[in-house]
Amino acid sequence: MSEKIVVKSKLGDLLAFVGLIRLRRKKIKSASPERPKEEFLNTVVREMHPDRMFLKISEIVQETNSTRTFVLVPDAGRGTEKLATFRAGQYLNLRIDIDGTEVSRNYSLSSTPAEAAAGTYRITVRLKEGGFVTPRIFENWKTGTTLESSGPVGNFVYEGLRDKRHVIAVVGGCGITPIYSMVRDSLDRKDGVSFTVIYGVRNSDDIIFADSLEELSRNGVAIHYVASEPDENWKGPKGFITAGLIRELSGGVEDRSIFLCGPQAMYRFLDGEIGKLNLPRRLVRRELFGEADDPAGLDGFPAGNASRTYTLKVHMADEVLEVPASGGETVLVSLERAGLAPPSRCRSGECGWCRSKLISGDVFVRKENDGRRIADRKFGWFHPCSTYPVSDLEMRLPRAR
Amino acid sequence: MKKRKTHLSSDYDVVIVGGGNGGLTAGCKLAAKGVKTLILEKNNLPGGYASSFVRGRFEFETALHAMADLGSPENPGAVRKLFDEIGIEPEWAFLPDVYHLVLPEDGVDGILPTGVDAYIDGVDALVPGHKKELHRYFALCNEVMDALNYIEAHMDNLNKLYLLKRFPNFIRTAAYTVEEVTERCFNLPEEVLDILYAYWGYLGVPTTHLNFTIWAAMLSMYHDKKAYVPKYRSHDISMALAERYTELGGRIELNTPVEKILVDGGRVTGVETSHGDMIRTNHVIANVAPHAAYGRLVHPRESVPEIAYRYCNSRELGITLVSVFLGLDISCEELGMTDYEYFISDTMRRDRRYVLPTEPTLPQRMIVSCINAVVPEASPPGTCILNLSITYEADVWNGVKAEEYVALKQRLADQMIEKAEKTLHLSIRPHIEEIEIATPMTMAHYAGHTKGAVYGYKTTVWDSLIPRNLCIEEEQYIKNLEFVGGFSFRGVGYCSSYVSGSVVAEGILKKLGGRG
Ligand SMILES: Cc1cc2nc3c(=O)[nH]c(=O)nc-3n(C[C@H](O)[C@H](O)[C@H](O)COP(=O)(O)OP(=O)(O)OC[C@H]3O[C@@H](n4cnc5c(N)ncnc54)[C@H](O)[C@@H]3O)c2cc1C
Ligand code: FES
Repeated sequence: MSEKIVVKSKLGDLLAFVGLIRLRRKKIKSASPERPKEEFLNTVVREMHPDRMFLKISEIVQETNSTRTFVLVPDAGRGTEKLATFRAGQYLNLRIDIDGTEVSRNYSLSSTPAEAAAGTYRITVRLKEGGFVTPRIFENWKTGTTLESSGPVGNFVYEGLRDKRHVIAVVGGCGITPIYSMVRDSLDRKDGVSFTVIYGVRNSDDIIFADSLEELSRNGVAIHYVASEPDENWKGPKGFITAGLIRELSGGVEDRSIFLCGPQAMYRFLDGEIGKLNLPRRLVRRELFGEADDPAGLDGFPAGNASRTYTLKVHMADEVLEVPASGGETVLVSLERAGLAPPSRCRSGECGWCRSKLISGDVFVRKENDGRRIADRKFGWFHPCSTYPVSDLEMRLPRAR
Repeated sequence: MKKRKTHLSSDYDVVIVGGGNGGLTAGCKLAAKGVKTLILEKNNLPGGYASSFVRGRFEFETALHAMADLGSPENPGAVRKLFDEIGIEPEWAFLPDVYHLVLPEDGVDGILPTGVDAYIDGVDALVPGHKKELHRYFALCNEVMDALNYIEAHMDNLNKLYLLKRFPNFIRTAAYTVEEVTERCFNLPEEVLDILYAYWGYLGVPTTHLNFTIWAAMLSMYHDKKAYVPKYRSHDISMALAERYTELGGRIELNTPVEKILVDGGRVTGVETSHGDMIRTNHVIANVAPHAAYGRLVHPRESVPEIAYRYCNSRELGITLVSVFLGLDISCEELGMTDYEYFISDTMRRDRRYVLPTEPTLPQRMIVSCINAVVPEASPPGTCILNLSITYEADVWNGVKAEEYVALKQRLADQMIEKAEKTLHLSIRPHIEEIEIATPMTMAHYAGHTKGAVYGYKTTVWDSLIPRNLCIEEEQYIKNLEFVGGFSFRGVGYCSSYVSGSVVAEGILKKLGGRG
């Protein structure tokens, strides 16, 4: 600019400039000499989102023949003083040591946030015959057993700004757990959200939380059981949960949100039924279900791959390891089998916690819940929990935090 | 089989604590010159705030509203030059406007385009008759920018006399606030100032306290180099940098928080991580704030001189924010979001301009942006991504308890949506398919900064670019511990943090070169 600007005075402006350093030194010298401590906000955040929590089983409740609830309290001895708050519907990612192999499994919190504030969490686990972890859980977990867990995580929560004031929860088996928490949390908070729960069970012995659900239904929560293998004196609807049944039991689907949670077999059937209801996506929320139970049946899965074996060359920190893998298991499971304790949370492809770099090789990625970021796809990063090897692979795996 | 523990076993010439914009850039520059470099990043992806996250069928931008100083291939800015040098080419979308300003109580509603002439025309359309004075104003801003560029290019043998002769107005305005310079030296009516000062949001410090130099540089940059957004969110830039860095031979280790910066005899000797890695190095670049480095990381504690604590405590943390991310099942055209970014303030009139909330209540000012307006394919056809953001002074949320947190953020998001709907005549609520609400807590959780600050330290007069840079050497309290990123000498913003990484890397290259 051609003219000369004068802000305060010709000389003053120059002196002010020269004085900047002195001013700065003075400001610094006159500040407090205390070490900057962790601020309240940062402490709250650390307690709300712990990387890791140590918990102790304080009580075990046998819910049904195949289901147990574990009451968990903080294990102060290992550094967890209090339980993190959570939102009804969230789950814990437990790190479980099986004969020296660390695997993770997810369990929705079946208790409410109010109970957490009072010092307990509950998770409710169903025994899976032939499963890898649950038989050990049922055998080994006793009162006093200590567990390692993530903080509460997950996005399967009621969100008043998005979801309708009336929720139809369609659940199957142990899929009742997050809904059980949500319904009671809603009553605790008196938020006025009404729930219709349509609960698919095998028979009356298979109903988890039967007594409390009875009580909830006396308190105005609509609960309907649908039995797939009904006993003789079963009075309710039988068979599978169809679109027609959902409509009928909930008095119509208009202005309602649908929440789905259950085993994969249920989703496979329900997807078609929900489709018939013609609802926009925003009105249908689904909880994740973890690894596919039948990878060979996945849309587009390479024929014969499930029975092949491959080698994974894994770069981890400064080491290179070779690990066997099955074409029928996710890369994550192979890494766990090899004892690498890889990072994981949702085990469903969505959260990105297991995010790793694929250096070379071919893979099959399950389409459901493919939560990879655009740039991750572009640069060859993948989610091992929803990815199957289709050749030998070379990859870089971050260590679990 | 037993659980395997793997370690980082090598030593490094340089260890970079934090793979944000500054750390990644420094890493690339060092690796390109064959310096053995390790980036340790606590999160499981690089980029720090420069990232993205996925909900359902939407990928949301975490931080960037507009990339300044990128420029076009024909008129490249600092960022483009730097990225060219490093060898990355993210794809960009051009932003035709700086913002669409809506001040309901002042009766202002207009688009302010980028480019000095177009911008001044935009102002003239709202408040006619001040073109000449505005041109004078931008001429001053450009002089400040030119001076900064000159300084940067002649760091080593700065001719101060030439500086004073060639850029007198840069020197004369450097010790003042935006308002001191603007209102003493220019004859602009209140109505024009209302529009002009709406920019303050980009720097997060009210014009009453904001230093003129950085303000002028920003204005000049936005209008000369225009503004852009990355087509695939910031994660694409961060990934491009991280991958390039690896290609150049650099090592980055994710999920690896640094727990200690080891110091002996007043100089850096190594770092220790949460995995138990012990890494020897003579240089640490901290892409974390001095608050964190001196307050928590430097070990042993006695090696932090008292003046370093005073240094931290003297400085004012910049703003933090609440952001509502919405994935809507309606296109941006149907929604009515014709422009990318709307700046809304009830009023910009002087008496209420900077009445900022001291409690976490709804402030009068909000930014509403819809990336689909400039990147139509940012989400699937028939959908769009909407972002609503408000800012707070760093202290405001520093008292919110865990128990009240969720209800509070939901209440705020509700009010923000209502305000956006009312002010911009949109119907948002019936279309929400995904929603995520980020708060100062989210920021603190993600990047670890004190009180969730996202904007570094405030660039007030004594803590702006010039004094920070003039004192950089005397403020190096631990030898070979240097800072990059939004909390470093360059101030906030993507371009500043990239450039900070570049400048620090060049300094280290010189030192290493000198050593032989
Ligand atoms: C978000 C979410 C919430 C959930 N909430 C609940 C809940 O509230 N209650 C509940 O009961 N369940 C819940 N589940 C399911 C639960 O996480 C487990 O999947 C279930 O308990 C079955 O575990 P399992 O190990 O017994 O079964 P498996 O099906 O055996 O375990 C799965 C995998 O283990 C692999 N595997 C086999 N051998 C090995 C080995 N040697 N090393 C490593 N891996 C091996 C198998 O290949 C298989 O893919 C939830 C799942 C998700 C994703
Ligand atoms: S663990 Fe969530 S994506 Fe793999």
